[in-house]
Amino acid sequence: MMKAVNLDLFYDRLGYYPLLLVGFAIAGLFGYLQLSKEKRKNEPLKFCLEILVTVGFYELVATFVSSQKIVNLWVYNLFNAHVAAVLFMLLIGSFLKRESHKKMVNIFIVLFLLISLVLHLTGFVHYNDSGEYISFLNTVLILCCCGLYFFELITIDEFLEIDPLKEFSFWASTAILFYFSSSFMVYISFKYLYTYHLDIYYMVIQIPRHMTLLCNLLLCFGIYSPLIKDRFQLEIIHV
Amino acid sequence: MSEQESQFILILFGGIFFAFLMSLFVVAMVVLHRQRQVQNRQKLTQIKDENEKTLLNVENEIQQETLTQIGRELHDNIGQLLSLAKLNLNSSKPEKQSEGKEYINQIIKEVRTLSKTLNLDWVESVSLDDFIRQQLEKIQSTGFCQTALESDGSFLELNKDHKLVLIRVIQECLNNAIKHAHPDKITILVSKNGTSRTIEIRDDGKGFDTNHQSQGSGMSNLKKRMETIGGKFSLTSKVGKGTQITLKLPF
Repeated sequence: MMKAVNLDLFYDRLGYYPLLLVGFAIAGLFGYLQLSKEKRKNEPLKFCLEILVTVGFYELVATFVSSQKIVNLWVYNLFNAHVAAVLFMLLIGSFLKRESHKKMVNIFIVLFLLISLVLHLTGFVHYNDSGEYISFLNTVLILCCCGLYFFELITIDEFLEIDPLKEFSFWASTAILFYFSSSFMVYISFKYLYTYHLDIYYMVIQIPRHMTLLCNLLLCFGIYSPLIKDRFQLEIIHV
Repeated sequence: MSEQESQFILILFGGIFFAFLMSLFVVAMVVLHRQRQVQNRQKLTQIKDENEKTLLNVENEIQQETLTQIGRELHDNIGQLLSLAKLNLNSSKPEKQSEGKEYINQIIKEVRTLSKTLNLDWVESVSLDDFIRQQLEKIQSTGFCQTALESDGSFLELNKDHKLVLIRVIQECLNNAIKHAHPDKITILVSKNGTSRTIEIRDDGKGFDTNHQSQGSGMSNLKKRMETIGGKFSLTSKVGKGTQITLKLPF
């Protein structure tokens, strides 16, 4: 017999965090649809929207799954550790100017997916475990991608003409760098903290949560930046 | 302090330290970027100054060359015409006097032509093809050697600075060919491909060993001058087989 869907618990568990993320996703989608056809072709903007929608979607799914008393770790393992991580890498890749660096990012992505596949197939990691190894791997690779961006920023002539403080790529890379490096220790110590120090776990889990909110807010702002420029002739940040 | 409190403080300070380190990294990146910007600006200013200096030198050299040419013209042409005019005007015969007047008219015409070459406005009015043609005609008229020009008109549209530098470089190349190569024929080919236009100056003179380091700075000067206008200078030569100079300028 099919188990009845418990929507009351789902509504109870919809805290400010998933609601804000869904809000960012809807706002991002709305902003993106307002953009001109030409601006919609802008790669970084496309990836920003994809990240916003993915994050909003999986947080909603994770809340729903957990409200049905089902372990929701597979949702985070699939969407957070794989789909969102690859999208973040693609976003940083779209900021890069050198073709060789772009290729390197693509290699990172393929490498990450291959290693993840091998680890899953060999049974070393399970799709419903706490995902320390996969998180370790994707964080290292994303930090390497951020490193490539900052390396280009201080070495490539094309970046000499720009003011990094007014550049979306700079703030997005900085936010991603802060997000993944601050979440790094939390993700890989997830199982230990959850098992032995539940109170500390609840305390430190706020770090990646708030960093996600900040990061998504910035990505959402990135989508709205061309609109603000067109409407008010004011370029706060250049995308 | 309980174990939990000490762990909380450890995490808090660890977090603050980590955030400080990350911020330091980002600030360092911005500072490094700014420093590179400043260095780049200084480099650009230096290159601009050097370019202006080179252009000024080129203008001076062209004026010097023009003055030498005017001196020669005054001595060989106008001086002769004035003497003839004086002789004819001193004569009592009316036909001689009218011939003298014609000489005076011719002198006025010649002086007008010469005065036009005193400033560099002629550079703007003459096309590079015309200039090359005039130079080659001059060389041929002296009976020094045969000359030929084949042009597809690729250099008809040039700004004054580019034209000045090219004029000077071509003049210098032709002078070198006359002075050192003693050729039977000098050929200039003007052509273009997809991204750049080319001037080839060929002579069938003595040629020289390009591996042998030259004492003078003529070639490196020409190279530098072409670089100031974003062009390239290259030279190939073999002893007894003439010299080919290629000047390339992007569109």
